[in-house]
Amino acid sequence: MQAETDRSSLPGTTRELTPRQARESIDCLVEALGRALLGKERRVRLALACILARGHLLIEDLPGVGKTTLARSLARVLGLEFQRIQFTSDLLPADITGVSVYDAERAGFVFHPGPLFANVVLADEINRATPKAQSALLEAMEEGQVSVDRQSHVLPRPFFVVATQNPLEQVGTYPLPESQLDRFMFRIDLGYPDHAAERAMLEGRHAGADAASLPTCLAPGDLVRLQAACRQVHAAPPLLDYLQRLLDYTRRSEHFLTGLSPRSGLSLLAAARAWAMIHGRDFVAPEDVQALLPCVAVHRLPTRGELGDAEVAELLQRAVPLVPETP
Amino acid sequence: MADPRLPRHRLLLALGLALLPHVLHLAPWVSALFLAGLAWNALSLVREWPPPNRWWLAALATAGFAGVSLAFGSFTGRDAGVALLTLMTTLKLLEARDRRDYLLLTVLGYFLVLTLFLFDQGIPVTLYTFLPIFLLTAALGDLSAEQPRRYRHHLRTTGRLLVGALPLALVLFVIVPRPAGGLWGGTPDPGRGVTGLSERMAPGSVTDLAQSREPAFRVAFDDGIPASEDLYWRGPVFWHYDGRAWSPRDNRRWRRQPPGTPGATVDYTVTLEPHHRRWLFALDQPASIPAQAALTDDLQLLRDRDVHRRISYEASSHLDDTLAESLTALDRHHGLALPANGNPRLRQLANEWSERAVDDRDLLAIARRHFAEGPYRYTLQPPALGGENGMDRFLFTTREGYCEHYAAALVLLMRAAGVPARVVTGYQGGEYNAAGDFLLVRQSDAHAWAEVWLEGIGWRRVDPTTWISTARVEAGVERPGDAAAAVAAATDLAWTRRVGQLWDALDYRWTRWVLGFDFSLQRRLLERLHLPVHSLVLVAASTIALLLAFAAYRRWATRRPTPRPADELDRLFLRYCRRLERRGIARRAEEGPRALAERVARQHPELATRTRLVAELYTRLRYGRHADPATRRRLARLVRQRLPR
Repeated sequence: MQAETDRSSLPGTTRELTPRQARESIDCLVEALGRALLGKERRVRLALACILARGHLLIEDLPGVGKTTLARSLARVLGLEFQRIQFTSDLLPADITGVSVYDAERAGFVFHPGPLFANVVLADEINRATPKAQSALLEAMEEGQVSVDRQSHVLPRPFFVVATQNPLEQVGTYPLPESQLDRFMFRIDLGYPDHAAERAMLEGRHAGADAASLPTCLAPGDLVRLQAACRQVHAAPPLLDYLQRLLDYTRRSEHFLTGLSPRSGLSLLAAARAWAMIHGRDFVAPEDVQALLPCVAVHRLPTRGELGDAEVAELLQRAVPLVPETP
Repeated sequence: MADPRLPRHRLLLALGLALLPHVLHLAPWVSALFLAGLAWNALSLVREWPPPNRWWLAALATAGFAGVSLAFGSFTGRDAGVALLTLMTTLKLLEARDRRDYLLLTVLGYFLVLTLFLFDQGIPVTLYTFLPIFLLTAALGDLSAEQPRRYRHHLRTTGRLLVGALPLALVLFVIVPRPAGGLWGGTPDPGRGVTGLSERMAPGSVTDLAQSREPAFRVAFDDGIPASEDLYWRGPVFWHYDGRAWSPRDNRRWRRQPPGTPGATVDYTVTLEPHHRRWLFALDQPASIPAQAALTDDLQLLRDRDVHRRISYEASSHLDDTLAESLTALDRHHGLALPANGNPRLRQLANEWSERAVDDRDLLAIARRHFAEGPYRYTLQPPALGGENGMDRFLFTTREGYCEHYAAALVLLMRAAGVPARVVTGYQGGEYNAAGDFLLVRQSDAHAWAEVWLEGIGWRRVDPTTWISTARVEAGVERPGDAAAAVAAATDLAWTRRVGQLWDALDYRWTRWVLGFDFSLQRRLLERLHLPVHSLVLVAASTIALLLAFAAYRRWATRRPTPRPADELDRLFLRYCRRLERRGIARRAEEGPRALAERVARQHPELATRTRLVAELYTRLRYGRHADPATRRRLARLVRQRLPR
């Protein structure tokens, strides 16, 4: 059902957004989301960049810091449909994808789409589900469709998964393997709000908790067009040189077991394009790559020894200055 | 963390040490100004005084120039040049504010040290220069260190650098061709009093030297030192007597070759102290003519120019007191010339002698008896003999004199008796230095003797001083003829004297082999290596080329792993980075424009806007879709502009 409506918006992608339209849309998105999540401008931009780069987002953080708010607000301001799936250990794949049920009237099986059939899906506490259920979600993320009873059902577009996992709970969880982590373009944390933002929330001056009050910034089809425009952001040869030097570095460095894969490189470039666009540039600069390197790379780099993510992030932060940007 | 002002203070100390030896010869006001500059800079670092404004500096510079011009009469020449260099360094001390200024001061310090050699190239000064050079080099590292390091680290690095540079310096010292005039050239400094024989001989002129312990020259004999009584070092020859002083004859003629006296020769090398005259000394009689020198007809060696620095030359001599040559008419005329009048008693005595004497040799014997048996005394404090008939007073009244009195009196007596004679000055004897195996001839060895032309024999050396009986030699006076004792005594010396001799020996070797390392020594070295002489330039050039190539290779091999600036845009950016560097902000190799701009903004807020804009424009041009020419021009303009203060 939703698939159909989204298909109908596809022809619109041929009509390109003017730079001004794109600019205004993005400004509106950033502003609206900023209101929803106080003091989290950078995280909001990162999430936005992830969507614009057609990636999926993994948020690793404690409950109650605004993961759901972020996903919900995203769907709202983007003008998209939102679904939330709470992952539990008894969750079955069919609970996510949907089931075919016999319809006596039609004398046949009719597919009843699961909660996955939405534009923005919040997969809450993904590491509490069994690997089977996890892989159903991850397959859908990769393929953009689900297969039920040998029938493929195309997921609506745009399709954007925001998965969360709680880094502290270890008992009864199934951590995502590296190969699956790779499906997520970004992994970010949200962190606590800063002092002023928290005070505003406590004083009740914070109206953004109600996603419904946020404006819808994009017309149907605009997001796809923005995504298309994002792919047009210019990446000059010197920038590709720089990106390659960075990738090389992670492959040569003694700190990491393996370096970043070519897919990671592609993700990084796509993300950098989106980041550049959010910042109002029509070209990618090294600073974009640098800004996004930790969120793109940390969860994809297996390390030597028992390094926590924080340490890996720091290693990467230190790697950035080691790779020369210019002669 | 170390105080960032410390490196600058240490540099000031090094500069002070570089100037210290200059204080001896610089005009006091120049040294005083320099010290004031040092003090001002040191204090301004502590108190954070701003540099004086431009007008003050300009006024000071003008005053300094005027002062040098007034004091030296010119801006060229050694003394004025060094004074000017010192003053300019002083001004730089006053206006120094950022790292570049201090680095420049270091370079000026090196120059100050180098100019020391224009005044003195001896061992003490040479050893001393290592101190300021070491400290200046350490300061160089200290000042340019990106991160503050312990001073000990810089000292160690400097030590390694200098020790590593020594072999290189040695190689260059050996192979670089020398100009014939010496590395520094000869610079006369007319302001300085010089001890040594003079161009005229008046009573007292040799006496003045008798108490000078200054070395005149040193001699290394190829095989063995001749007997002391043969050690007559021949110098200026005097013919003309004006009634008071003696002078050489004007129209001297040159000998193509030395006199053909038969017999073996003595070969030796003389290292002569600068005496600012042309003459060279050789044992009587010279048997060879050193390079760049000529021999006069009265057997005096003259160099082609004045001796303003220590020189070494090889010579050989026949040890013969008789020059068997015929007398030319001119020699006879000059050798008999007497003032028209004066000294009547001397003339009368000579007439008596010539009537008594059978021949010239007999006449000489009479003269000898006269001096040996008469009450003549040999003294360093002869009474003044001014006036018309000075020689008469010496011969008949005071009867006290030094060698020049006796030589002059004898020559005059001989002339008055009709025998040609001339006065020869030079040195007699010398002190053997066992440590260095050479003979040291001091100014106190200065001597004057006579030469008398005897019919049928030729010119014969006659030393009337030796006729005076030892009993009448003033106590404590070393009569030149008694020098034999000095040679013998060399084996049995007080330790102070021995140390003195050791030092002198060292100094001599230094002069001979280091300062005297000239083209002829280089040639000998090449010959020993079986290399053609003309290959010296080739060897030097190829060695230097090799060294440069090695340096270039090292630079290339240890170059930063970054590619060279690919295009004009990078060059523009790097140019801006150099501007920043001159303000003491060095871009780290890995720092991109934006990171650099952020750091600059933190450390130097006054440069924040400019640097951010440069970074922004650079990024836009480098990574943007289209390089907009207007943007590029804007960047170029920004890079060209002076940085805001």
